[in-house]
Amino acid sequence: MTKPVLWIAAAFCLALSVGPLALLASTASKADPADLYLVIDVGPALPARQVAALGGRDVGPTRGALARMVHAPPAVRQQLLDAGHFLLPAGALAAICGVGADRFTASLGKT
Amino acid sequence: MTYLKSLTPVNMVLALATLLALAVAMTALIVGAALIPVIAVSLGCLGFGWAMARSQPKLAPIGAAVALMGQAIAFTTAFQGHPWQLDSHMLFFALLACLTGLRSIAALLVATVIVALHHVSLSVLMPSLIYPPGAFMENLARTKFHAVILVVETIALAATVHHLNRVAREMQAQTKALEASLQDADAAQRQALASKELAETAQHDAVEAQTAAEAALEQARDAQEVRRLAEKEKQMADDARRAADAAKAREQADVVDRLRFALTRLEGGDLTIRITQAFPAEYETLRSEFNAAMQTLEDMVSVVAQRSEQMEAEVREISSATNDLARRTEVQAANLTQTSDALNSLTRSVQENALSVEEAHRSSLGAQSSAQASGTVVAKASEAMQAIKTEASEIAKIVTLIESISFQTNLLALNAGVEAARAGEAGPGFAVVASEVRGLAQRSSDSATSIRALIERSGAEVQNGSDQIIETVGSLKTVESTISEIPARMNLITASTQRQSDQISSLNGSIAEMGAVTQKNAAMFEETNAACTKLADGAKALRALTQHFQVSDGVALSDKVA
Repeated sequence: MTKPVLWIAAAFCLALSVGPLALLASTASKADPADLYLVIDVGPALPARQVAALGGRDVGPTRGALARMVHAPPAVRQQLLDAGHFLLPAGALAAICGVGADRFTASLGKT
Repeated sequence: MTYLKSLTPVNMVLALATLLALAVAMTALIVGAALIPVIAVSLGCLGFGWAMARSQPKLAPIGAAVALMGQAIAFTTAFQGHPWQLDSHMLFFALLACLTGLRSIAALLVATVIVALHHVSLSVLMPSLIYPPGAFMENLARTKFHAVILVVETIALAATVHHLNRVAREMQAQTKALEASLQDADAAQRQALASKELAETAQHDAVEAQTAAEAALEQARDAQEVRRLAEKEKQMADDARRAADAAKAREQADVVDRLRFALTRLEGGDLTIRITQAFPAEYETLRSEFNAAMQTLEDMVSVVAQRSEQMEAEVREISSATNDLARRTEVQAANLTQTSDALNSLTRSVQENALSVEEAHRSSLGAQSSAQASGTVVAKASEAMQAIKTEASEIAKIVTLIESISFQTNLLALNAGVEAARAGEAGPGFAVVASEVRGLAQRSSDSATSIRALIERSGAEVQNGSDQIIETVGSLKTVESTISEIPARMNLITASTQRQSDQISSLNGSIAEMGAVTQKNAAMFEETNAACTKLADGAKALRALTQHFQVSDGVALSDKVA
C-alpha cells in the first residue's frame, strides 16, 4: 500500500478506537460499586503486602503481567490514588459486556 | 502579504481545530469531565491531523479534516454522562459544514467516515455503555436516523464543494485567459517599439544607399565604355573561331563519310573492310580502333563459324550415339523383362518344390510312424515265437513222459507174456492181450518218437523264425532311424528352398528396379536425343548466321564451309 492509503487507514483506525478508549479512560477516576479495581501495574511497584497493609486484598488466583485485580474499599482506593496508581473500575469492564451496566452508569456521577 | 498567503484553507481549518482544542479543555473543566482522556483525544486527533497535513501535502485537506472532527469527538466525550451530551452532537454537523472551506470532496468523505466509524465503534463495541439496557434496537434506529442526516448533509456539502470548485476552475481559466491577453498586449507593444526602431534604422540605411547609388552610377558609365571595347574584340575573336569551326566541320564530315562507307560494307557482311586512308591527326585514333575492332570481329566470326561447324558435326555424332544407346537400352529393357518373367517362373517352380518337399516331409513322418508300428508288431511276433518255443519244450516233456509210459507198458506187456506162459492153458488168451498191449505200447512209442521229431523240427523252425524276426526287428529299427533322419533333412531342404525363393524374389525385385531404371534411361536418352536435335538446329542456325559474313581469304563463309 502507498503512504497516503496508510495515512487514511490510520485515521480510520483512530476514529474506531478513540471513542471506546476515551470512554474507558474517563471511568478511571470513578468508584466501583463493588470496590473492585484493575490496578495498572506498570508504574510504581505494588507488592501484595502493601495492598494488604492498606486494608485491601488481591482478587484471583494469579497476577497478570501488566495489571492486577484488587478489592479496595473507598479508603484504600483513595490511598492507592494518592500513591499515583491508575485504577480502572472492574464494573466498567463488566459493563462493556452488559453486566451491571445500568448500575455502573448510575454510579458514574460519584467520585 | 506573506501572512495572507499563509492563510490557506488547510491552515485556517487547523487553526480552528486548535482553538476548538482549547474550548474542549475549558468545557471539560466546566462540566467536570475526566480531563486527561478528553485532552488526550483532542490533542491526539489534532497532532495526527497536523502530522498528516505536513508529511503528505496531497493529504493536507484530509489531515485538517481529521484534526477538526477529532475536536468534535473530544467535545462529546467531555459531555460523558452529562444531560447535554446529545446536544453536543450538533458540533459534528457544524464542523462538517466548516470543512467546505477546504473545497475538498475527499476531505468531506473522510470526515463523514470518521464520524460514522466513531459512532459505530461505540454502538457496536460498547452498546451497554451507550444505550440503556433493552433499548438497543430503538437507539440503533436513532443512530440510523442520525446517519441518514449525516449522509444527506455530506451529499449536500459535496455538491456545494463540487460547484465551488467548478466556479473556481472557470474563474481560474478566465484569469489565465486575461493574463494571456495582457501578455499578448505587452508583446504587441514591444513589437511595435521594435518596428519603430527598425523603420528609423531603415531610413538611415536608405540615405546611405542613395549616396552609394550615385557613386555606383558614375562607375557604371565607366564600365559601359570598357564593355563596348570588349565587345568589339569579342566580335573579332568570334569571326576567327567560326572560320576554324567551318574547317573542322569539313574534316569531321570527311571522317564521317568514310566511316559511313565502311559501316555500310560491314552491314553487308564484309568483314574485310579496312580504312586505309589516314584521318586528320585528332581522328587517327578512331580509324586505328575501327580497323582493330573489324579485325577482332573478323577473327571472332571466323572462329564462331568453325566452332559451329564442329559443334554441328559433334552433335550429329552424339545424336547418333544416343539413338544407338537408346535402342540398346530398349533391348536391355526387353531382356530384363524376359529375365524377370523367367525368374517369376523359377520362383513358382521353387515354391512348388517347397510344397512337394513339405508333402514328402509329411509322408516321411507317416512312414516313420508305420515303421514304428511294424517294429511293435514284429516284437509281438517274436514274443509269440518265444511262447511257441516254450510250449514246444513242454510238449517235448509230455512226449518224453508218454515214451516212458509206453516203455513201462511194453515192459508190463512183456511180463504179462511171461506170466501168461507160466499160466498154462489160461495163458494163451492172456498172452494175446499182452501182445496187443505191447503192440499198442510200441505204437505209442513210435507215435511219441514221431511227435518228438515233429516237435524238434517245429522248434528248429520256430528258432529260425525267431532269428528271422530278430533280424527283421533290427532291420526295422535301422529303417526307423533312417526315416527319423528324413524330417530333419526335409526341414533343411524346406529352409533352403525358402531361402532360394526369397533370394529369387529379391533378385526379381532388383531386376524390376533395373527395368525401371532402364526405362528411365531410355526416356532420358530420348530427351537427350531431342536436346541434341535442338542443339544441332541451333548450330545450323549459327552457321547460317556466320555465312552472311565475308572474311579475309576473299570468299564468303558459306562457300568456305561448303
